Amino acid sequence: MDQFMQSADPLRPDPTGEMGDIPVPQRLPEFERQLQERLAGLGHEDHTMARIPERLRFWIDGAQYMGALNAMREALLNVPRFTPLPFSPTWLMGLFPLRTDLVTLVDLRLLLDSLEGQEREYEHDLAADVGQALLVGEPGRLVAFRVDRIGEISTAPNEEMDTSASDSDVKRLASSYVERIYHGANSDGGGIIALNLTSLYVDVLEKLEVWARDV
Amino acid sequence: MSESPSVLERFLDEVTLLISAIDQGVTDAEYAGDVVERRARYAETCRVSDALARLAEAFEAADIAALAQAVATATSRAAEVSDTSPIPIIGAHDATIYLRRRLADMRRAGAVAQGGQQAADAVGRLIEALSLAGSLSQPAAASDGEGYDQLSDLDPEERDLFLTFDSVELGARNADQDTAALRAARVAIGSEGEPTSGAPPSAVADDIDIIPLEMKRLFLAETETDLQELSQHIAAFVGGRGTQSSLPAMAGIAHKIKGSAATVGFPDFSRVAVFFERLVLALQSEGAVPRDRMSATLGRFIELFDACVVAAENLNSPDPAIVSEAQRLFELATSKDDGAMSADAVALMASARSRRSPRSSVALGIDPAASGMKVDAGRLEDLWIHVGALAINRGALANAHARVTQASHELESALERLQHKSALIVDGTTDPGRNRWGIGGSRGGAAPPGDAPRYTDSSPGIDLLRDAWQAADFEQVTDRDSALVALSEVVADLETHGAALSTALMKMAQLIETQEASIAHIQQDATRLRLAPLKDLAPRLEVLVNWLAPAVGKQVTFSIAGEMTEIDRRLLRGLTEPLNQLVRNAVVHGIESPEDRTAAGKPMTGSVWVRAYYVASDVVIEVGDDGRGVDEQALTGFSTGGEALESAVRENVRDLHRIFDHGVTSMRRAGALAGSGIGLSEVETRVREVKGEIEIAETSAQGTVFRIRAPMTLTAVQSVALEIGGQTFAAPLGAIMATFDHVDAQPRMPPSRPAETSEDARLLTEYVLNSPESPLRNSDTGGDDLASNDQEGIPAYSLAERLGISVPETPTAAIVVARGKNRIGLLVDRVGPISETMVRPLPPFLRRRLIRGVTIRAEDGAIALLLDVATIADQLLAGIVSAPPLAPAQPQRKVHAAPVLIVDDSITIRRAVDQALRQAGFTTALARDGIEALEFMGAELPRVIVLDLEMPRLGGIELLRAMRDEPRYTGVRVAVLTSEAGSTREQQARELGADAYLLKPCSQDKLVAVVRRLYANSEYS
Repeated sequence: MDQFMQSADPLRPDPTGEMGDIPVPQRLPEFERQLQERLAGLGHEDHTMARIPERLRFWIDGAQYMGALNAMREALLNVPRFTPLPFSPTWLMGLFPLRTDLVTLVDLRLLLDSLEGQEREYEHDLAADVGQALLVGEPGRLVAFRVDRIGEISTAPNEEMDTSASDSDVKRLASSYVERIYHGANSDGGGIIALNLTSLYVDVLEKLEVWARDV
Repeated sequence: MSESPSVLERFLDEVTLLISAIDQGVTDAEYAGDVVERRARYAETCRVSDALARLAEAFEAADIAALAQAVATATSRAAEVSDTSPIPIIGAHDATIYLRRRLADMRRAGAVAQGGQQAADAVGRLIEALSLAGSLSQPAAASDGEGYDQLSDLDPEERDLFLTFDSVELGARNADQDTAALRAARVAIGSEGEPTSGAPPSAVADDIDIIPLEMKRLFLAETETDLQELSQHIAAFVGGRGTQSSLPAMAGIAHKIKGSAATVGFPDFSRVAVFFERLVLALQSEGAVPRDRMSATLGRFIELFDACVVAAENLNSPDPAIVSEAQRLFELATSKDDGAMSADAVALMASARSRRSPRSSVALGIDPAASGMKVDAGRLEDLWIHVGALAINRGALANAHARVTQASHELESALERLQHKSALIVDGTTDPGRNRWGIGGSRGGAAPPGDAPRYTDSSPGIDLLRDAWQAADFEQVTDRDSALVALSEVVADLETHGAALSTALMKMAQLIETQEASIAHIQQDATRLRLAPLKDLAPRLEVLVNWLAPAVGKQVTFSIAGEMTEIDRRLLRGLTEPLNQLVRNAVVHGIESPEDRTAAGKPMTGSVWVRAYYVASDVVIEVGDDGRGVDEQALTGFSTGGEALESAVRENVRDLHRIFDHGVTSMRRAGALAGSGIGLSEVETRVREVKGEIEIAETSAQGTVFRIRAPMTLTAVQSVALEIGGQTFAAPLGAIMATFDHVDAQPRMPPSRPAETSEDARLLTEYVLNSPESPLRNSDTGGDDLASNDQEGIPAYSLAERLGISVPETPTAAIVVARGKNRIGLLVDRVGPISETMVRPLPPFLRRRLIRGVTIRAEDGAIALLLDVATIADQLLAGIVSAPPLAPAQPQRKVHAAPVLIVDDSITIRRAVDQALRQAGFTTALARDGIEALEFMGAELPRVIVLDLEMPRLGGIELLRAMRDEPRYTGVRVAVLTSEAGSTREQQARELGADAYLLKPCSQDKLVAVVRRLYANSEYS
């Protein structure tokens, strides 16, 4: 089915002309055949795999976090040199080029502090290595969340996680940004916080848009 | 029916495709060239609709299934009709609009939800309309002009009612809950495959638009071309040229716009096209309105279309008054009352001024500026970006080549040292006096015994190897002998590899050069693809003059010169409205009535012209007339109510540029068509939006010339690099009058400004540039000599301070920006080279007023912000000089500007010291020996030198000696970093001027502490 979804659709508008000049009538039988297959396949969807999320571990200030892998585009193990942007909130480190796109670099630690209401001054060291970052978003609106270190990918069923977000370590965070907590999963008995990176990403863009209006 | 998100997603995707296919099929059928093709298209659409019905049934979406089945039935009937005339299916396109809305609602709801009662009613009405298909033998519009083939023929309210359905049953919208976090949470939950709990909030149907943005973009791009073509046909028709062919062509274009606009979700746009099409059809029919009466009406329709385009760019419907006006124009033009026509048309035109929709400064990603070819501007943008990336990669490649070249040199240097040391060892073992083997001379001795290799080439390494073989006593080979031979072999191998590396580097350099030339050509081509000639605007301006002049009782001719002058399509589009307004003003205000012109000794027919030409990388467009000129007296004595101007008048300020102020007019009486003073203010705003400037170049009783100057393109710009607080910025060269490497800038506190107030803390320090001499370069912006009339000095401000960047000392370099008669200095740490750079806009959420975009530096692939120095200068001149907002949140950067020079022949040491010092915030420069250090210091003076002593060519002691003899190096502090321990050596270095003596290995902390101390004590000037 997925293979079909990715293949060229016989009736899909073809502005590039890659399908040549084949008229629609000749494409129709193929489409109908595909449609039959799709209708037949829709009733036998296997949902079990989708219920096991994959998360990527990362560290900020010694604390362990996780983020859903499907919310990220890439894990950047070496963030390129970034350029600060004047008139910016502290947590906005700047931007850097990545292939053909511009990426907004956000210091996740300072962002979480800010969301908590603890805005503070900070000197970004332009000469030091930026470290590692999680790339989120779409081309043209890419955001890299800088973290101290990126770890391994973990796969765990949802049932093992507490969704109450009541751990004292994470009370300071807005609950909308905390997806799950793994109690006692840390080696020192502490929890691992699963952050909702998509939520953070959406809010970062909103905050920046508001900010941009004023500067 | 509850479906998992992935299944729902697929269902919705399928239905979206099918709806598009139906839409396309119906449109294809309507535009089919003959009856056979049309029937075939309807037959295909019937099968697609039937497929949709079956799919919807499978998902229990009853209304969609019913409607799709009705479309299938209607298209099936239409496919059987053999009439040669087009047979539109009433309601077919509207059915697809309904389906898209339903689809969008389901997408938002996250479930296949049923529509409400109103939805059922709407479906009922649509099915009823569709049932008429095949029962009509002729299209209503073509037969009597009363009916129309779409539901869009209904009044807007009726039509909305027809298509409205209630989505309340899908779940009440809770605005408070619909926060960003909730939205994100929904996404997150959905992505993990968890079932949705309850019905998520649903949006109002009218808020939803799932027609792909790409389709709208293509429509607007196509319509842009269509409207230009339409303008040409109107001009030809009104001018009596090609009447026979013009009207059908106009009708064809209108019909096309009508269908396309409705398809992509702009029904009111479509309605305007409907009235225009009807009007043209009426003109074609017997008893049409005379051509001269049509001039104003047709011209006005172009403006109405423009308004629709502007609205569509903002994803809006045009003002309802636009549609009403189109209808009224149609009715007036086809009415029998000749007298009413002219007066009503003028009244409509006058009222139009208040209805012009502002063009959004953020075009929501829709850029229809793709006339002349069917290429979407977005794709051109992509091409341009990718070409830019190629250029950046080329820069990175060149850098990599440079680094490899440097490594090759290091290798050569290391090899040389190795050769030297090896030769010493070999010589030591072969010296007759010290040779324990007792073998004779070191070179040219006896041939090696046994199977020793025979080298025929000669090089230091091979000679060494030969010596080693000769020296070895093969009767009594020891481990040391073996090691010696092996060492010599390594040296020889290194030589061979080094030579191969050099050859490869030469080849690589050639390839880079070739690639550089190719990329430059591609860049040029990509840039040219974005350009469009000014002549694209000519027909529109001509139509404007032709309809406007009679309406105000004047006789005016229009001409355009330099029409092949090219400008970026985006800029051309941005200048369309300003040029329209200037031409309009010229006709209404500038040109006198025939009587007045005769009295003034001028020809009765006035002249309005547009002229375009290049100045450097800018385009200049002049709009002129031979009218009465701007009434300066009226300008300074009359305002439509602006108190500021009255105040200015009291101060006897008579500046023609004030005509661009909001509410300022030269007209003694504001009329219906113009004179409110709003137009020119808007013109200046629009021109500034495309980074241009406008001025009155001439005005007299013989006429007026407005001059617009704008960059030819916003995507490629010549810029000069500026270093501020360790960060590299860029500034467009066009805005810069001159640059200076060194200036004398003294702080100045205006006497009117009381010091030590809290408010003062937010003000920028003002400096004075005292007649700087020897500018590095003057730009070709036409500025006069800088030093000739600046006896009082030029006011200047620190860009670092303006941008919120902390720097240790007052910057000593400057650029000077000219703004009209004013000039202002902007202080920086260093002015860099000029280069041609490609500009990319900042993402919308990062936009800053003072930053025009970003460029990618070829040398290191990093981003440089392109400063809008013109705006910065304007703000400073206007007194908007407050410190950056929210200063506490502004990251402060402590960067030492002047460099620390690291001189060491070991690349390892250079890198280690470089990294340590850069991390500590120092700017660094590197040299491999004393010669390179002196070369560097010839161009730039370091504050501190970290110096090795043992180096090839010129060692540390020799460098210190050379520096001691040169007074300009007196202030430079030197920290020796060497492995040569010994008081004699240290004493020698200190006597020659070394300030510190560090032994390798040295801890990073100690090194940084010493450099920091020396840096602070240096006598830097």
